[in-house]
Amino acid sequence: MRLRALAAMVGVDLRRTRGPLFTAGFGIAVGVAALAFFLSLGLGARKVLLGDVFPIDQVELEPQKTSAGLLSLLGGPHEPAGVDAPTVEHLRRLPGVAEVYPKLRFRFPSMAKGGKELLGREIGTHEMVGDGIEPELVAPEVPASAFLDPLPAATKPCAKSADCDAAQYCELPSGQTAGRCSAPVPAIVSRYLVELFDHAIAPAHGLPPVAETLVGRAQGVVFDMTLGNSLLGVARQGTERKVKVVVVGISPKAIDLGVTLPVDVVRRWNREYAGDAAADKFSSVVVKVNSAADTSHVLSEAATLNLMPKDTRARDVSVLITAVLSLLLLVAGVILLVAALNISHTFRVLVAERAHEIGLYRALGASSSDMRRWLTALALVVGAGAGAVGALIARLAALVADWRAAADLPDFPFKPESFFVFPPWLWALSVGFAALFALAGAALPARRAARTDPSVVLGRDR
Amino acid sequence: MSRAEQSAEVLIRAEGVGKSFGDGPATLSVVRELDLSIAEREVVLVFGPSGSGKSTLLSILGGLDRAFTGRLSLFGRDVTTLSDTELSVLRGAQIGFVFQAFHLLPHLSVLDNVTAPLWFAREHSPPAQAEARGREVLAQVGLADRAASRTAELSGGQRQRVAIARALLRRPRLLLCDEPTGNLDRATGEQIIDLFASVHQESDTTLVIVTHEERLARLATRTYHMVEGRLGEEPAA
Repeated sequence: MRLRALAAMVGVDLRRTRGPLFTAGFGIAVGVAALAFFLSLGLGARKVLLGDVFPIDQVELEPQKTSAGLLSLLGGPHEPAGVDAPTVEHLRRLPGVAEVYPKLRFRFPSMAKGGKELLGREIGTHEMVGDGIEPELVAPEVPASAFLDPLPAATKPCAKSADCDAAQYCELPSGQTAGRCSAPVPAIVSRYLVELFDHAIAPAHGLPPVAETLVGRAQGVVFDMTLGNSLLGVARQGTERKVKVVVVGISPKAIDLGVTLPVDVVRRWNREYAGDAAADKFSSVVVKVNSAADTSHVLSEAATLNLMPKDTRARDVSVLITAVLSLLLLVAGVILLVAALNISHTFRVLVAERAHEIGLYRALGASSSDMRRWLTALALVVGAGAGAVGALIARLAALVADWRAAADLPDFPFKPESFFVFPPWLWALSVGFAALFALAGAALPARRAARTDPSVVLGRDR
Repeated sequence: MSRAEQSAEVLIRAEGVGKSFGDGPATLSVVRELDLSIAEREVVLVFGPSGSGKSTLLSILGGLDRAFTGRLSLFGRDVTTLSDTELSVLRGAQIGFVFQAFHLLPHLSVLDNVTAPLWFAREHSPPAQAEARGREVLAQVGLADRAASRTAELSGGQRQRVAIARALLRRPRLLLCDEPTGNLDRATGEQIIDLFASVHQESDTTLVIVTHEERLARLATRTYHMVEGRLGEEPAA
C-alpha cells in the first residue's frame, strides 16, 4: 500500500469518524496536557531552585569538621583546617569535574557601611563576612580585569587616606608606617543577597530595591569597610583600619550572605590579621560538575581527601522536586492510560463496525498488513494531533498561570518571570508520548483487523 | 486434459479442494473433493440451492479463503505457497469481485468507490489517470453521469453497475460474481446480465458466476450444479 493511498484513507476516516475519534483523542489531549504542564512546572522549579537558589551542578567542599569540645577552650584560638593547593589540583583532575574554584574565607572581623549615593542614606553591618576567589572564575559575569587586587597597580605613597584622591584609600597594613594609595577593592555579591535585600530588608527599612541599579551603574556602589574589628570583637593581631570596597557585579560564585573579593586581597588581609596559616590554605572549594549525575562520585572522592559537602540543600530540594514531580507525572500517566483504553475501545468498535468494509478491502487487493497499517496510521494521526493539542493546552495553561501569578502573588526572593520551562524537546515528547499511547491503544484492534477473515465477513451479507 | 486447457491458458486449477467446518462427528463439509479447471475467456456458471457451498467455493477460488484442503493454483501459481501479501497483490491485480450485497462505501462518491481498488495497488497511479480510468469504466457500465453521486442516491441496479465498474477498474483477467442479480428485480437483473455479456465480449474477461438465476445460462460456456458441496458439470447444450 502506497503512502499517498494510506494518507487518503486516513483522511477519509478522519472526516467520517470525527466524532468518536475526537472523543478518543480528547482523552489523550487531556493526559498530555497534564503531562506537559507538570513537566514544564517541574523544569521551571528545577531551573529556579536548583539553578539559582541551590545549584545542583556544583557542590562546595570544606575540610571535615572536628570538635574538641571543652578542650578547645584550653587550647587557645581555634585553627580550622584548610584545603591546600595540591588537593585543589587533585580535585580538578577528577572525571566529571568541570571547574574547581577555591575560596578563602575572611579570617578577621570586619564591618561595612555605605551606599548613601545609591540609597539616599548609609546602611551597614556590624558583622561582615566574606571570602575570596580567583578572578578568572567570575569572568562570565564580571570582566576579569575588573576583579583584580588593585594594590599592585598602586604607586602613590601615603600615610593616611586623606593623602590619596577622593576615590582612593590608603592601603596601610598593620604595623607599617607607609602605605600606597589604592583604588577600591572590587567585590561581587550573590543574587541571593540582592534578592534578600530587595524583597526583605529594603521594604522593612523603606529603601529602594537595588538590583538593576547595582548592575547598571558603571562606577558601582562604594562601601567603607573596617578591618580588624566588629560587633563581636577585635582581631587577635593587627590594628583596626578602614578600606574602600566597590561592588562590581552579581555572580552565582559569590558567597550567599556577604561579599566576595579577589583571593589575593583576602590572602593579604588574612595574613595581616590571622597569620600565615590562614593565608596559605583555602577554606573550601566549589566543585562544578559536568552533570548532576557526576556529583555522587565526586563526593566519594572528596571524602577520601577529608572534604565534606558544606550544604546538602541542593540534593534535598532535588529529591523533593523529583518526588513531587513523579507523583504529578503518575497522575498524568493514569490519565493517559485511561485515554489509551478509550482509544482501544473506539478502535475496537470501529473494527467491528467495519468488518465487511475490511473484507471488501481484502477482496480489492489489501493485504492483512495493509489493514494493520491503515488502523495504525489512523491511531498515529489521532494520537499525534491530540498530543500537539495537549501540548498547546499546557502552554496556554502555563501562560495563564504565569499571568495570574504575576498579578496575584506578592514579590518574593527569586520570584521568576515564568514558573514554567517549555524546551523544544518537551513539545516533541508530548506529541511522541501521545502517539505512543494511541498506538498502544490501537494495537490490538489493528491486529484484529489484520486477522479479519474476508470470506467470513463478506459471507454474512449474502 | 480438459477442453479449457486445450484451447487457452488455465487461470484456475483446483485439485481435490475441500472445505469443512467443525471437528469430529459435528464436521460440516461445505466443499468436497472438488476438481476444476477454468481457462481464460470462459464463462462458468455454478448453480445450486442455498447452502450448497457455492459462495464458499467462490471465496476459495478468489483467494479470500485459504483454509481449505487440496491444491489450488491461480494464474499458474500455487496459492498455498504464496504469502498473504503476494496473494493480495495477485488478487488485486488479476481478480475482480462482484457481490450480491454490492458492498459499496456509502461515505464515498460513485467515482471514489470505483477507484477504491487503486488504494491497494502496488504501482503508482497519478490521481488524474485514476480518475480518467474510473470515468472510463463508469461509462462502460452506463453511469458516466453519476460519478459525483453518493451511492445512497442510486437504485439497486445502478449500485450493482457501480460494483461491476469497480471490479473492472484494474482490468482483471478473472471476474468472480456471487449472486450478482440476487438483490435485483427481474428487469434490472436482465440489464446486469446484458452488461456481463458485453463485458465478456469487449474485454475477454473470464467470468465465474454463482447464481440461482437461470437466465444467466445463456452466457455460459460451461455450467455446473453444486449440491451438498459436490460439483457436477452439466452437458453442453
